[in-house]
Amino acid sequence: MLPTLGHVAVVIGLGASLYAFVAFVIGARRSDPRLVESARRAVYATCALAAVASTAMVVSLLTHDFSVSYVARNNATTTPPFYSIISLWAALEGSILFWTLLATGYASLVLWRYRARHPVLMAWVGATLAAIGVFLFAVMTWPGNPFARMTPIPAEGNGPNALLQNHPFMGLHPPLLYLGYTGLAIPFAFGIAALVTRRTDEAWLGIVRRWTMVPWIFLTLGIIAGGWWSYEVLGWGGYWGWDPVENAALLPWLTATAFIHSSMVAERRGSLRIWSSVLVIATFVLTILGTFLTRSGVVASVHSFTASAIGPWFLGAILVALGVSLALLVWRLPDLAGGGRPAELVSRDSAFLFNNVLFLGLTFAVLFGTLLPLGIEAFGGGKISVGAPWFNRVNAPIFVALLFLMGVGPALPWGRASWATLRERFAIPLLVAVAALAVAFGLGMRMPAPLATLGLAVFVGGILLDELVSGARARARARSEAPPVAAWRLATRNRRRYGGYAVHCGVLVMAVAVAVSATLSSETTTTLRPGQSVDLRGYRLTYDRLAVGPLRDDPRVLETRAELRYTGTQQGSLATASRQYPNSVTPIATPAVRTSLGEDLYVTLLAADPASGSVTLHVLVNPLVVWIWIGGAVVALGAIFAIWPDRRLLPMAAPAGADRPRPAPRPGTATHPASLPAGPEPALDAAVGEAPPSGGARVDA
Amino acid sequence: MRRLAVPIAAGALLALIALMVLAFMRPAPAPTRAEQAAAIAADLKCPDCQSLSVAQSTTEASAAIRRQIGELLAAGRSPSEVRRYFVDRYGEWILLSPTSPLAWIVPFVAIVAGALLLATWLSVARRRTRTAAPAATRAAADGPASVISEAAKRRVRDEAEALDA
Repeated sequence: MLPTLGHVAVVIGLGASLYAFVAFVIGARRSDPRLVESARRAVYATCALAAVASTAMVVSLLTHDFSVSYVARNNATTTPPFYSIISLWAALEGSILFWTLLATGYASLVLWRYRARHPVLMAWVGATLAAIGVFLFAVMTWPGNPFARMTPIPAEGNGPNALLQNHPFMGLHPPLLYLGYTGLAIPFAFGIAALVTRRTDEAWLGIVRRWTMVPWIFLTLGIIAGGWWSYEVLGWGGYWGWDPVENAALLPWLTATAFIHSSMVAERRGSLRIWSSVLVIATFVLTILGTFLTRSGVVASVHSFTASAIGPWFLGAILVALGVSLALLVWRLPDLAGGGRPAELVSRDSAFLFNNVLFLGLTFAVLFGTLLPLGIEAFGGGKISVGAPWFNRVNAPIFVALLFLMGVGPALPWGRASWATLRERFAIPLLVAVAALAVAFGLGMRMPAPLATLGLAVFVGGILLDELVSGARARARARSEAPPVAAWRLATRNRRRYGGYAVHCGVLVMAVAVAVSATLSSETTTTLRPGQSVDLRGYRLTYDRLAVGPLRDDPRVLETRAELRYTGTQQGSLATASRQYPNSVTPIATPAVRTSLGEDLYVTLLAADPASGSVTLHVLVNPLVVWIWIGGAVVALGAIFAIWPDRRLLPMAAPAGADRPRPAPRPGTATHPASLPAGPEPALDAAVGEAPPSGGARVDA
Repeated sequence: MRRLAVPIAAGALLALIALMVLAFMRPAPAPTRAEQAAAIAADLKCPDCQSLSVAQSTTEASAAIRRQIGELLAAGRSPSEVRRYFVDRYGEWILLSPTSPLAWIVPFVAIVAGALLLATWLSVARRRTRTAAPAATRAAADGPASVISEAAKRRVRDEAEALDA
């Protein structure tokens, strides 16, 4: 009954999105607000229908309804409720259903948010989002039906993927990633709508930036959570392996980051409009490409191309999205080209531009490495692998260059930089960086990669700190405020600028942590009998005993655990295990990780011999790994700070659409948006979209 | 202070780099057999897992390969001979890095080409606006404005930029 309801909801959803698409297009062409209004309501309906279908699936999973093939393949009667619920995204069909729920949710939110503004633009945004809805519902109606039935009904299901069951983090990492992925359809829709309606003004840019930032934050958190999960669960002691699935998440993140930067130039100088739409379109195409690569099994082997029914659909979607976008771009090129003052070679503008070159270069390198084995095999060149050693060596220099640019860019003035400004801003940070390098070298750090990263990070961090301190000092002097108050007010009145600096600080912390943990970790593999111990980098691990038995939560899982004590910088006891799930051929490692601010002690059980009680362990001491997660949290918090709705800010540019008069600035305070009088526009509008193009009051000159 | 900082920092940086180069030029101690084995294992792909190296993987097959690396090195084979042994046995895919130099060069060629393209575009666009600027504007900029001192102009520009930023 319930699965039938879910299936019916999917089919009606297909009809509703089709109607929405047609009504949006006709409504936009005929300027018929009633038709557009009905299309918008149809999109809300698709969201409700996707929610009904998702609920039907979750209830089917919770009640172990094995008449549904998806449930039989991904659930068992013994599966705990939490893992039953998150099995919604355990496999292909369920994850597309979840994807549809999020995508239609985003679409409804955006269409509702801007329902009263930009009528023509929003109709085309709606048409694009509805088209995406048509695709998703069609995939669920034909090749990837999540409610496909199974006869005869099995008495017991297969159970969820063992890796999914092994850690509650699977309840967090995929939804974050999906919230990022699906949300990137919004800037794409605005990109397409801009090309159709020839609108790429400030209001458009503001909305697109805001709606790129939201999924960007989710995508960032999702990628970092994935690294954390990989580190805590997979047992190989690392967090990033340049796996095609990981690369698929990284690619749209890179282009979205490039857009966030280029859009600042576009906003300030009026140039790069086409470039911005190219970037948002590329970002969306890369999200479908990533889904295609990872979900159809193409990357593992060319041959699953024909085996997977969903693969061709996604390939078709990529071609349609690319074809439509390119056609629109070529068609509109004359209208969008030009504009803006050209930049000097050494200026903040050109730093942003070179930033884009590097981000796109990184995107190209990652895409190239991911697709190279596929391409060579397709052209009969035999099987090759492109793995972590290649990615690390090729991408590390690009990352270092980006790090350099990250500090230099914000310190350069717009337009043109004079030698005096450069000296003024770079001198002290450069001195501090050299001192830090000397100290690190003196302490015995000899590897070039962490040394270079550390030196650059201190240099860039110094520049960022100098920006904040000199700005706050000037404000404190001018307004006789206490320095911390001045710093806080300065930051909250220039949220984008100082939020961006916080993001950069988080990246610096992550960069140092990655460089140090990747190059300076120690490891050993050893076989111990009970009572024996092993020494590694100041730690002594003593192996006590082996315990083999069923897991308490799920008795079908057999756990083999080695219990150890350790002394050193940290002390205590730990148990490292491997679990044998009934539906997994290979046992799943459950490493023990003991985290401190300085280093992690990481112990994986490789093999155990119950007869003699001897175990083979892989022991690692990974320095600074926790700082990767801390840095990631700083990145996310900085980005949230940057887009936080600010009630005091008022739109300086009139909201597009619009006919409302600009609020007149009081004489003398024109450069401080914070002190503008309250106008008729609701304050939230300043936050979502039409933020003032001028960042506001920086008075440190 | 700030005036002196740049030369000091540049000098110190150069000295430090020189020191580091000297440190790196000192003959490094020959890698032990275990280090050689670890380096080889890190470059070989685990045959039965996704995207992990033999060094990282916990599977039986990887453990067997690690043992084999140790035995081959102990038998006196050089690291490159050991690598070739595994390529002959499994095929090219066992290496995690492609051997073709093209695979290493292409990404950097793309980036350098992109950067050059951008630099050219910037200079062309700048030259075009300069020549296209009406003579009157240029005269205005050169003429009466020069009454204002160079320092004052710079200050105005810097403050405007700071407010703008």
